Amino acid sequence: MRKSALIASALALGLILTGCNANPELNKDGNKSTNTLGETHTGGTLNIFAEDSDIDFDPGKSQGLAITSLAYVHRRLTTWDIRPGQEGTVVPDLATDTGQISDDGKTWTFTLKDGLKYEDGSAITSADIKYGIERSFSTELSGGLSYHKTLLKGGADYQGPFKGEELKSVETPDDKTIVFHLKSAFGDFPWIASMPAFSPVPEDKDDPGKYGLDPISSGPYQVESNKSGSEAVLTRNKYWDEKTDPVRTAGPDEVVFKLGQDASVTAQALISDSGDAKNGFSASFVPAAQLAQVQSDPSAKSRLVTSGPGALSYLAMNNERKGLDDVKVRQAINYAVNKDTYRIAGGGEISGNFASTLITPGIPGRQDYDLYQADPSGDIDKAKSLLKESSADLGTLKLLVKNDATSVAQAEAIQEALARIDVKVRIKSVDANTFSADATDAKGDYDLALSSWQPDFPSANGNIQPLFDSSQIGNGNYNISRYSNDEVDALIKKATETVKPEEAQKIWAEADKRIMDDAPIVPLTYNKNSFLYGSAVENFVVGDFPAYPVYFKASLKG
Amino acid sequence: MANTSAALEFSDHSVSFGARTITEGVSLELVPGSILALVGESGSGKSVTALAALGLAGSATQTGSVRLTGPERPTGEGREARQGQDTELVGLTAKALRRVRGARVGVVFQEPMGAFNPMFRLGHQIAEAARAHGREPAAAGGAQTTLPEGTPTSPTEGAESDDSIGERVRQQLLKSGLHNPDQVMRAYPHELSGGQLQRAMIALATINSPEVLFADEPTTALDVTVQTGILDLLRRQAAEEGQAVLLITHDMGVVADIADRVAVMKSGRIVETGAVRDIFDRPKSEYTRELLDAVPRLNAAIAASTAEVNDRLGSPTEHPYGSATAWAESSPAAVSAVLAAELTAATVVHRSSGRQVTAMDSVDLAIPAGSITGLVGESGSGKSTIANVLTGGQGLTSGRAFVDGGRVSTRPTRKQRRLRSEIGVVFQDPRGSLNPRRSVGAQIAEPMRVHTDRGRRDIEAQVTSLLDDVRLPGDFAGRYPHELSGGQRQRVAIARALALGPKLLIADEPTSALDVSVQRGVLRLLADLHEIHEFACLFISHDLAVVEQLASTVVVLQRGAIVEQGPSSQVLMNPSQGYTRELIDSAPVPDPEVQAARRAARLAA
Amino acid sequence: MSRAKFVIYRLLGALIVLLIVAAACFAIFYLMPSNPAQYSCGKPCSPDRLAEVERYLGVDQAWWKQLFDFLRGIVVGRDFGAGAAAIHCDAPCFGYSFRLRDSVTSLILSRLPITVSLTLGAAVLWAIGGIAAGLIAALKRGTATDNVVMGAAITGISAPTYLLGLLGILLFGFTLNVLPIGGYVPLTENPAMWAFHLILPWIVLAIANAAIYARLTRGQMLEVMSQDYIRTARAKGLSEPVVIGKHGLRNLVLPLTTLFAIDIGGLLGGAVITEKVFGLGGVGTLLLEAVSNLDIQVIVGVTLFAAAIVVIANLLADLSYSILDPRIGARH
Repeated sequence: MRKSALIASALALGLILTGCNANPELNKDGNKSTNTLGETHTGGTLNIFAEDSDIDFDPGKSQGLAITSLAYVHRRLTTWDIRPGQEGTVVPDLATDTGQISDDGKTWTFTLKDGLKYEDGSAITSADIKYGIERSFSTELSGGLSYHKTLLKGGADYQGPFKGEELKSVETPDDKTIVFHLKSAFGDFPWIASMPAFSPVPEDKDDPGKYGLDPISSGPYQVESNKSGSEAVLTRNKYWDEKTDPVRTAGPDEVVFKLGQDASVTAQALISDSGDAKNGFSASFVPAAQLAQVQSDPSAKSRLVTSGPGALSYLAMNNERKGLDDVKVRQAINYAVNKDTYRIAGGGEISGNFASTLITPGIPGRQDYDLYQADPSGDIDKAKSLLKESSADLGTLKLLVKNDATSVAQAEAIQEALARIDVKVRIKSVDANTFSADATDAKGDYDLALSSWQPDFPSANGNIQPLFDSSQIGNGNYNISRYSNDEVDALIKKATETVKPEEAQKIWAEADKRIMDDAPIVPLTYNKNSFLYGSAVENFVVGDFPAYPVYFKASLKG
Repeated sequence: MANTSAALEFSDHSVSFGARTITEGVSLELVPGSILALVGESGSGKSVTALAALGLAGSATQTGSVRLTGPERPTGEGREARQGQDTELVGLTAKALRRVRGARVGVVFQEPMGAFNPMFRLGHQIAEAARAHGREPAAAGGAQTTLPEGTPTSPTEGAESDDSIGERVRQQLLKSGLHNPDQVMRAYPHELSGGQLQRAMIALATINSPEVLFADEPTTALDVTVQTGILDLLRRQAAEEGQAVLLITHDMGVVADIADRVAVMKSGRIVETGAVRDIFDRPKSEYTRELLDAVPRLNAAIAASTAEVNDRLGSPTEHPYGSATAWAESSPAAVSAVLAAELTAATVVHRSSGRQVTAMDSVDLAIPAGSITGLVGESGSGKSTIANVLTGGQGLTSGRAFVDGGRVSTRPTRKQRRLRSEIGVVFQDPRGSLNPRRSVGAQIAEPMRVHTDRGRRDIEAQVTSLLDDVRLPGDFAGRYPHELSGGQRQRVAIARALALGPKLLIADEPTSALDVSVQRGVLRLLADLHEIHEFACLFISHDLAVVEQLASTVVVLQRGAIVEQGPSSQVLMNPSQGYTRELIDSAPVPDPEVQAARRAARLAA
Repeated sequence: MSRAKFVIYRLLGALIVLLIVAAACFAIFYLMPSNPAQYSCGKPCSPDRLAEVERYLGVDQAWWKQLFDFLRGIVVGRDFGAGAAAIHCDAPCFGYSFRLRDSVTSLILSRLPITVSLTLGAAVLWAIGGIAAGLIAALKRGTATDNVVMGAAITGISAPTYLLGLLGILLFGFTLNVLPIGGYVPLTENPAMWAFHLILPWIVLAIANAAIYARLTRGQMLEVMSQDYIRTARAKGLSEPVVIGKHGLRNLVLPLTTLFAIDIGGLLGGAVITEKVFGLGGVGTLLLEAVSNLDIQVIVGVTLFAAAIVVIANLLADLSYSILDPRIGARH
């Protein structure tokens, strides 16, 4: 999630404007009362306010979740059934089930439902899904979620269909059947099959340069117009059949994406519940200033949905740096950090819960534990004694952080906390682009970095592999603590290849603890996101995972 | 003077700005057909008196009376003027005053270039004056109903047609001596010369045949040769149009030339009023006498003896510098063969958009060390170009320039810097050449800090000594230019010019922005300094009398070329060129009889 | 120098300026630590794929090579990628956005109506408001009116546009609920709604500029009114409205026109903050998002476009001098 400096200043201004209470009380009775699913009314126009000026519906290039924008237009082999207060599950979408697995766990077979049609009435075939996956390999359409590219046999070298090659590891023996051959066993493949690239794309309708503006729809809505910088309008796809779709409710007659909307302004409009906002919701989190404002506005408060604890915010320690390569030092820092002041800097209790594990709440198989038990404000004595046991000379630690106001305030909280054990920290705040470049390059010229992570699919795999597998160091990947442990790599491999979910979950939980023994990071908070919607909107829900609204269930009151 | 009853009468008129009283108890009578000159030094309140009466002096408050004879002028053609009622200008409403301005009282200002709006054609600007007082139809209510605001520029019902106004403007321009009125009407101000503009301004001021004409320093900004024509025109306005003219001036020569009566003003009060000959021949007030004494006179032009001039110019105890002859004899340096500066076949040609303008046309000029060379000529004749060439500010197109034996160029070399330090320059307007934000001492010290490596204390001592040389107290070093009078500023400028002990001092119209009494002191100072420091001096001036007093050699320039040069006495007493003669004759001398004779001769010719 | 020659010289100079701007853009992005390819590589991204994407985007080349390719694209057009997915960008090609999948030229053209509507509407408002306020202040110099107007002007100049925008939205959009808070309706679609939706952005953008114009107008007017020709105009017997309205204002036209041309030129390159607050996807937003997405071709293209507009505006301002000022007109 990138935030420009402008948004940061907007936040700061908003604070001044609303004279806000920087540490709002959490709505104790919870927002669960509004975060519920009920009967779906049909009709009306639903407005979705988005910060980006453009919306690209190309499934190949998308990193979107299975429950947001693209799901209106594209169905995939599988999808997510997300309900408030329940763990999310993977359910069949175009396929009849979530995949049949071979004994060795390396081959997955899906069969399409009967009578599936595109917006033009033509039939959806397994070849279209194969083509959709193939084109996602091309450089022209790179940029989307790419987990499948390393899983599929021959995927590493495949360059996409535009050079005339096909991907042999995806087979379509008939129009209904599609078979995937994986390099190694992968138990979470049903989740992978819910990713945007697993949407059907008819090859004869494809123009990689323009497809994303107005794709051939397989979902309940088709793109009516898509004006850069202005709005995108979706209207009903009459060939979509509700009976074949387990999750999409398709209430509104029309869905309009209002593009390039400032998050603060949108939040303000939703609080006032005026004009277009009445019939809409914001795709962005409610900024801190407006979040405070909502607390004193009963009408707005009844239309605020706060997610359960989600994405993990953490302090990465560069395990390759002198001093920090000593586990005692890293453990000391785990004790020394003040999670309380950190959370206050980020907006207080409503912004998240304190974290201690790597696998986040809402992910199946998570086990709660805390290896470094202490008050949220830390345990200075323990930290000091651990530091004494180590003879490492730390010098001044360089803390890499994004330069928005919130991140800098959070970094200062870390700086103050570590000063308590006489560890000096120098904050280096840089713009979001530079941050991701500096944190993910080969050099790793930093000691500490503040980051957060939300898995792309609800499996512990998505929590752990990208952040702690030694193959994910540098090259733009996210193991920014540069943690490398053969034992852990082996555990990750084993869990990944374990096909039975329950068994795999156990191994992930073991890996979680094993990693925290080495304390490569300090888990800080599980973040909560808050969203606002207009008074005419119903069925606006946020599940335990992900901390985002389920777009396709929202409808308008009759 | 056919009519002796005043057209406009100031009686016990005082002007003040807030608590500050500018003029007090001024009484003047402007008689039709006659010119009253109001003279006095700058700041004496001459202009304010006239402008305040017309409501043109901003927030001025007036007491007393300014009475315009006759009632408000009827605006309808053929209507009878109501007799017996005069118009009192003091306290008149703004609307009524507006009907007086430009209709019954016309005004001619000093700077013709600034007095016209640069954005509009002249014909339009003159026609505006006619339209502003356009004749309304003889409808009921006539004189008392005012013109609706804003209409004057648009020809509404009953107003004169554009054509007939255009014709009036044409005629008026012709009458003002502009023989190509159509061209003038189409021209923008910047396209005409100062003389043409001033004639156009007179045409503008008189287009509604006002009873009274105010002329505020009408020729001060003009060259002498042009001045004569303008003065003749004003004279004619009085004589032929019967206008009562108020001529505001500081130039006694101009007064002698055209005034019938003179009022002398000092510090806001009239000290003496009388017929022009009485004032010049038998001045009653001490101040009038001082004023007349201070005026430099061109000996060659007056049939007066050199001895008389010497009497006028200096008390015998002081160094006699008034006469060129006397000076030349007393200065051995004048015959020195060493040259302080020299120009040989020096030519400067400016090229712009294909046109060539020759600013200097193969000028040969030698300035001997220790001598004073006067440079005279009209504006644009190339006087300042010569100064620029010598100081390295202007390159030569061909020819050569030397200062102190070294060749001058515009290249920023060390040698040029040294040559530059051999020249001191004094400009016309000390206000412009002194930095308002730096103290006097710092500005005099600057050349020494830039060109020498002398110590701070040494420089400070030198600054005190220079201030003493220009007869200013040493504590002036700490003052700022705005705390000084015009004459004091010019003395500071001279001290700065002499800081490096230059071989050559270039004085570019150093006294023309100063009042005559101050001018006298500065000229004397220059002469004395020249005596002590023995620098050569290039003295640039349009005032032949001043040049004659100071310079041993005179160079006459016309259109960039030298028309005549030689010892001042010879050139000015006995010019060999017609142009020199013309210059001499054009400069009005402060003697009504001489001027009357000249005028007669001119009109006869 | 003839006017045509003057224009040609200036345009040549402008080309050099634009060339330097383009070179600077590429050089700066080349030296920056961020890798634009990272954004187009996908998640997760393998080193091989990253290299592939770098090659495709052309960012693996040295900056001067990228500059050269860009310049060549302007002259002869460019091809991106190969085979069935190749994209051709016709000459003059000012770059292609892989992210938005459109040529930079067409992106700018599609966003321009919004920016133009915003800028021109605001310009009319601030010109009228600012000049009127400045005139009133000048004519009432030293009075309470003058102090109030100039005080407001200083407040206007120092108030950040973003704050003004939010305040305007809060007041007119939510509290009073009389004006829409943003959105853009094309002029061709519905002129009334076009204006209605833009009123608030116009006012917000106009305020800061109006304040500057008020100050300039006041200063210039005071100077003009002290000129000799104003005294002449009064001495002619002209009425005060004519003296001020004609002889005074005519001399203000020149400095105001110059400033106006340059201000409009600057804003046509994108009124970033106003666009952002009011959700108007104009050229400014295009640039802003290109920067946060490291879309270098769009950054270079929009920067060049903005620079070109500024250069042209300056040229027009200079030309207006020779048309509006008879003194200069004669010299050319």
